[in-house]
Amino acid sequence: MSFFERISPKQIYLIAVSTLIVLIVSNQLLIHKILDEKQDDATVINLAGRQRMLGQKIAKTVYLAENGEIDLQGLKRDVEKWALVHEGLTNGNQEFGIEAIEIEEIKQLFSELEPHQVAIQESLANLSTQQDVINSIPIIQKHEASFLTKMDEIVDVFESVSNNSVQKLIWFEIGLGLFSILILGLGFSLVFKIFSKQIGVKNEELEKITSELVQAENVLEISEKIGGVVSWVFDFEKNRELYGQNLLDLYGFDSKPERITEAILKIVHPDDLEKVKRAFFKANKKRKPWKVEYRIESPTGEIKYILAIVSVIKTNHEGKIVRVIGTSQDVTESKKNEAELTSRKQKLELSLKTLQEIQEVAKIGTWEVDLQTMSAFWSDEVYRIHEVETGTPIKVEEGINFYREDYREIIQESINDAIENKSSWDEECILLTKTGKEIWVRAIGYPFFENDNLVGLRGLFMDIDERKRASQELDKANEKLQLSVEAGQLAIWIWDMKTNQLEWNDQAYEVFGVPKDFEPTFEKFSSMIHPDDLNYVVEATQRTIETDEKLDIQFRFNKGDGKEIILSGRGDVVRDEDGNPVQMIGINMDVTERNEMVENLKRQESQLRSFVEQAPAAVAMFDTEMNYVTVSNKWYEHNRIEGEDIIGRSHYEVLPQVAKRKDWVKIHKRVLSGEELSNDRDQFVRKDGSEIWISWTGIPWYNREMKIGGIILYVTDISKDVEYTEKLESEIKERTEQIRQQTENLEIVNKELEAFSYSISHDLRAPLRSINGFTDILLEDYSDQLDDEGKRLMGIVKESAVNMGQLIDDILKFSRLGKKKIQKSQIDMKKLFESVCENELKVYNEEKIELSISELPEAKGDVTLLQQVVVNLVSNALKYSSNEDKSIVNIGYEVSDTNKTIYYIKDNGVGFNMEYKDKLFGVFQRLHTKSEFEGTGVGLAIVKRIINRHGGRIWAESEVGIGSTFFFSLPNG
Amino acid sequence: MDINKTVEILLVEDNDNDAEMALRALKKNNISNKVTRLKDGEEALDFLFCKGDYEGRNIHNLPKVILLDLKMPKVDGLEVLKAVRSNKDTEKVPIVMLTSSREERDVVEGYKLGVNSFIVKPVEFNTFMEAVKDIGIYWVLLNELP
Repeated sequence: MSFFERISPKQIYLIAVSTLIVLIVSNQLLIHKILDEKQDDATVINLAGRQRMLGQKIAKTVYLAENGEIDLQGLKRDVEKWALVHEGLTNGNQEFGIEAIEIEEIKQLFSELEPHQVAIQESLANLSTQQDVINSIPIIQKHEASFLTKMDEIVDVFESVSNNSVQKLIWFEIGLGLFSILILGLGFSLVFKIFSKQIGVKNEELEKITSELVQAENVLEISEKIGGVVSWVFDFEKNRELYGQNLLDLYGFDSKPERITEAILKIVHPDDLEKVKRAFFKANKKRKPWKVEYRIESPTGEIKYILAIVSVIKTNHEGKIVRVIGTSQDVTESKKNEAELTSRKQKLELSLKTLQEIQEVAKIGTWEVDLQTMSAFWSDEVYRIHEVETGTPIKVEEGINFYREDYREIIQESINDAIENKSSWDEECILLTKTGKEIWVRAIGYPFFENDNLVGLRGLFMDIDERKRASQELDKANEKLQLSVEAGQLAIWIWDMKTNQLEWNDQAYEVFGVPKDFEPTFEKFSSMIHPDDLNYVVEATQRTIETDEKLDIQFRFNKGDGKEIILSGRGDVVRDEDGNPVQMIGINMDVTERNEMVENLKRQESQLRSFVEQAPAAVAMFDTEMNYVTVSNKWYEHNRIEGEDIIGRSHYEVLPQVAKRKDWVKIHKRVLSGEELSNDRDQFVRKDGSEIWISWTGIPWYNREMKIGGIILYVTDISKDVEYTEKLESEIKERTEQIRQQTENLEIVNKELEAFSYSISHDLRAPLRSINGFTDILLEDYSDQLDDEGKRLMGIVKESAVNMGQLIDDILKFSRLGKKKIQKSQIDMKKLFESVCENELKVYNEEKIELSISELPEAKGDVTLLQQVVVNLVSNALKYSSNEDKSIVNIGYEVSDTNKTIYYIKDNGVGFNMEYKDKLFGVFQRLHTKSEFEGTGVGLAIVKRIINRHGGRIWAESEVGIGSTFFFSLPNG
Repeated sequence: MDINKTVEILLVEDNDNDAEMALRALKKNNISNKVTRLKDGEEALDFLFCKGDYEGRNIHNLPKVILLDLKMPKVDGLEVLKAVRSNKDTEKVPIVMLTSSREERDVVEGYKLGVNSFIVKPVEFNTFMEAVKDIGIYWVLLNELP
């Protein structure tokens, strides 16, 4: 039976569990031991590093004595400190928390270091003059280099020894693990594997911690070297304070005080004291770094801002802090910037955060370049900034290529300069990260040496992108603010409530009307506020201080130049961490004009309302929703609205017929958007259904905010006007028709004229032709019977006929030129007829004529023209009845129903065929040949034209062989 | 009057003096045979369409040419022209219009209605004689009805 078979599964299980417990416990113990050891080693390494630095500093001070620069006191202090630390390092020191060194190898090294240390210390122990110092240079030179080398060796050995011991412990653990594999066999191999893996992880962790420690060391060293950040360790349990000269310089102490913590507390600004105490003494169980910013006041009254970052290293069983490590930094400069930001809280917070982040040690990446191997070391933070995976090997030139092209030269030159001139650099550059992002970084670098030989470059690397961009934005915002402040005449002020100091900007002097040398105080400002408003202002301010309510007031203010204005004031209180008001920030603006404008508008609006109400026309004022604001009395009347309260109601609801008019609804909207519209003639159906014609005007009205408050409608009933217009229009139409008819008549007259001239050209020529032609025949057939005188006379006849032809043409031309005007007068028609008949009777045989003239009404007309008419008609009657045995002519009148008098002349002559009655009055129209009756054919045409021109009419009735009657009418006088 | 005698030239003229002068002119040029003179448009229409005094006349016995005065009482020359041209029996008869003046509208109207020629009766007798002579020669001696 094998070993495995002899033990039961339960036993195996128990063994497995107990082995497991042993493994876990040992593992944890191991890790803690390693950590402790490393922690202690770190302290030693730290001190050793300081010792090395201090040695260098002493040596430097001594060498500088040759140039006459010597701080004997300082030198002595350094030497004393150097000796103290050396003693501590060698033999252990409770104060420093270092145990006596037990490792032989290191002890040996320390003993080798001893002579150099002693020699240097002794040579510097009793110095009293500069010459003494100069004299000590050869000895110092001799021992310094050796001391430094030895010190470096110690550090190296220390590291390797501690690494060795860690390695040993790990091997032990692995051994233990292997042993359990042997015991538990393959069945537990899985369990073992897990622990083995865990060991691997822990190992990695250890290495990482080691590297971080080294880094931290570097950072500390670098930080202090570059300045600003000073580190220290305070142990409250043992009352030990570990710090350097830098800390004294930072807090402005000339000499080392007995207890630096107490000394610092004495100079801390009273307001910040509580804060600092809290940071230092109150327990912080979470062991997170504690950040505190406070002011200190130097004896000269100078205020310095200090940012301290405190890490708790150890707490006692009561949870009370017993040991802290930390850094202090002068952030006065940043605070100044901060003050600039106070007015804009948000920016300030961002900026402060950025600042703090930058200050946080851990956030600063470090790097190192080994110039011999040309390899680079980056801390995690540097990798993070570059967005490169942590641990990726980096070459020197790759590092440079991460800078944006325009910055590469600067960095390259800085590096060259550092190598050649041993100088350091501090540049703000733009970096292109692996993912192509552009960020601002601060690159700080300096060369470091080994035995006076340049071996590499070290430096800090900070991501300052956020701060940089914030400050750029701040600049922009500042500029903007400045512009708006200048443009708006804004007075901006800050009232410090503790000191009662009042500060304000340049514009404020102008706004408040005070000279530039005016020194503002709250009291002086208050005295300028109008007495009646002072209480109000003070109360409002008090309210702002006591509550969260922001200040927003308007008050009268007597400017320094005596003018009273209205100021608007807005402000808010700035509180400290405990919520106590410390400052009040605010702005003031002269709003007098704006107020006047508002007042004017208010007045205008009320005027508008009363105007609308009192208007002797139909006027209504609506708001933007077309609700009635106010109306005139006429509006009710106009719209036939009775017994209804319409104010506040919608126009469309009150008058639904308006809502149906989509064009009107659109017009209202257009007016509401600022247009002024009107219509001179529009139809409207009133509430009672009656249709009217209206003219309307719609205009927008403006409220006190200078915005459209609604519209005003002005409506007039123009139905009567429209009626009148329509009447006028029809009259015009009628007139036009009359004119048209007159024109037509004119055309007829023209035609007659044409016919007249036409006839003249034909008929008046005919007799001339006869005269001419027959004279020719006479000359031709009877020339032998005529003597010369006879022939001459014939020639005259012929010639006269030709002349007359010519004359006719001339007369024609003349008659066409003008028309005679009618000159009307009252005419006794009976007298007219009688006188004409008297003359006519002389031509004919009086005895065979029977003429009768009845009583005739008077007429109004042109006497000459009407006489011509009468002559013509009477002679015609006598002529055409001349062949009868007895001529019977009757003259009389009839009254027509159209206000006209009809006169007639009746004869018993030949008459004419009524078929040709239309031709009767045509110019030169004849119904008889010349051989029958004499005549030119013009007579009746002339008669007709004269009667027509008098507004009358002429016509005839006839029967062949029985006689004719000619009628003519004339309008009654 | 023998209403059916052959008529070569039909002269329609209300003015006796003008008619006499025209006849004299025709006679002088030896074309006076078979000239018939009518006193006005009304008589011309009666003659041509065998009405009134000329009832029973052979309508086909047409003159070789009609010398038609434009301006006449009752029925003027243009009316006669229109009547002649709108009747199938008479439409082909040549018509020469006699006028005292060359009035635009008469000329246009005349040609529209199918007048063959115009003669302006001049005050100067000799010129008139010449014109009548030319007409007679052309229409009576040279022109044959189609």
